[in-house]
Amino acid sequence: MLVYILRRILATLPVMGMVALFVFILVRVAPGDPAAIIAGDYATPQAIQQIRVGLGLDKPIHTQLAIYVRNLARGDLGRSLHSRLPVRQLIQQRIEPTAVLAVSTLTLAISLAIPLGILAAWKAGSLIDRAVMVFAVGGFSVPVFWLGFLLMYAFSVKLDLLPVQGYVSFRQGIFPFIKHLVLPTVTLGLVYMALLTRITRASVLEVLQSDYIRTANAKGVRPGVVLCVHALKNAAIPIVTTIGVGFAMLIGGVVITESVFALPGLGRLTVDAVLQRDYSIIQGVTLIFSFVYALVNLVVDLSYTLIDPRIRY
Amino acid sequence: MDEVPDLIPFDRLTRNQKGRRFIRRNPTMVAGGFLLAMMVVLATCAPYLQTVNPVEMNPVERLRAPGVGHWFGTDMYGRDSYSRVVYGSRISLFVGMMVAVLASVIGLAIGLISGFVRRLDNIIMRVMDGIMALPDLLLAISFVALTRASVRNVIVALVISQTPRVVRLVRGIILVLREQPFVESAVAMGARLPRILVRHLLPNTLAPLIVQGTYVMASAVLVEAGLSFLGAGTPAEIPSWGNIMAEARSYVRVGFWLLLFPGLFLATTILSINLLGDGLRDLLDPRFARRMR
Repeated sequence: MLVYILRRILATLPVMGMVALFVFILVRVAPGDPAAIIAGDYATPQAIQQIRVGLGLDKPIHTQLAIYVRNLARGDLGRSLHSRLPVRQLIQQRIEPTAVLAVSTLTLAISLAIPLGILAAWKAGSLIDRAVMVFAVGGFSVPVFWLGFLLMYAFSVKLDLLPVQGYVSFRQGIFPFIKHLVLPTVTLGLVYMALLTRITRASVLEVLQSDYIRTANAKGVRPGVVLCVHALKNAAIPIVTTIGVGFAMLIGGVVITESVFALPGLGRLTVDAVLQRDYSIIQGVTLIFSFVYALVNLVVDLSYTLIDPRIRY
Repeated sequence: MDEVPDLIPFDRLTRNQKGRRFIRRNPTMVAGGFLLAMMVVLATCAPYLQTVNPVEMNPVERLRAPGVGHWFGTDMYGRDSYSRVVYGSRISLFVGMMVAVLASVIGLAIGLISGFVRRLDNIIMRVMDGIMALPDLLLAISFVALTRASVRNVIVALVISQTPRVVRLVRGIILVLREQPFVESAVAMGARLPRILVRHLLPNTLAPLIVQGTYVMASAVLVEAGLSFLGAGTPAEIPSWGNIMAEARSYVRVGFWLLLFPGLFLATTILSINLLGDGLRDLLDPRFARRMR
């Protein structure tokens, strides 16, 4: 099993390599000269060339690739093209709000979606089921930023219950921390929850048709136990897979939510970098996100062994 | 006669009865399709729907609440919000459809080859996995950042991020199909590769492909709006729902209608596409499974 884990971690390296290469190529192949864009509209050709040399873009492409790979191996993600600060430092400064938001959204979504999905599957065809399905399809179709503004308008502007924007660190007081986190978490969580509820319902519904469920019910096992132990365990694999796959959606949503609620996280860093065409930051953040996504998928795959003892790697 | 059309053989029903039966049996698809059709009508007939020039500024009339002359109010430059929202539908639907069609066609081609030609399968899937490891929005943002913010670049970026989904789907089907006897007999009869791909394998992929295509379209509309909202999508001169909302974000307190209506239309469009996709899936999939046997 340990061997499997090591093998999987090693297997993510080629994928990461592909991602890094892809990002590298994307930067170099795109039309438009980065040095010219940085220099501005009225720069002289000498100024542009100076900038190009400063960025190391005048070297032949395989040399650039070698430098890029070598830096990556050392953990050096380069320097921001605009501020000249190390990308790594910028990421370290901004990672806390993003991570907090992601974790709280995951917690909220999973803890609400799974019971809701089980309920809908149990009472399939009833009004509760219909209501849950409407919620699921509707919630999935709502754009994250619109929902954010709606909630912001309702709860912050009109009712003045929660702060409009911003992030307060955990160390500065737990109540402000939670209050600032509520709206972004609910906004982002709703979409994730909608997807998860649907998958949970479909999966549990299928499992409930099985013989062993019928046996358990005939034996007189309490409905709660039947649902949560027997049905859920067998239905868990697609659910856990979706949690992993939905994580990519979550990353995209984090970028938008941070923009709406002015949270100083990685998402905002990326957006600002995009608008300023700061390629180093874009490369670095994309790599980080992809790495986290690969890790999440690894955890998902490993969790399969916990859920289904028949699966052994 | 009207109450029990189910017991009468299909051929004996009138066209009216067939239509009503279809609606009864596939409510989600009909609802989604109808809503989507309304959006398309909105987009194509924009000039005829009581709209004015969406980019014409009129600072005297800035930030008026929804009312008689301006059904959705005016924005911070005095532009009529209703016209902007109606014209905005053009961009969203155009981008959505283009991405769906292109991603489906390209994904189909790559998937067919990947599924059937074993030697290329591994490397194609590695590339697809690599692309799929990048979250949609980030990939699109990066691409648009490096080129220019324009509708064409948004479409290209979205096609790149959505094609692996289609490839995976098609490849999965082909992997199952290629072991079937009819493929074996086609090869035995001397059919060349292109003919096998097009004549025998492709028709079996069409149903799931269409369903996936609708989901791709929904994603495309959503991501395009997100990109425009972040400033990395449709350029500001062309009104798009995401654009409109980006400009309106500072006006949450004084002009919330500017955020409400574009978002409402956006949500409705995405909802209608999702409903259509779900309905199509329910309609086509069981038949597909039956055809496979």
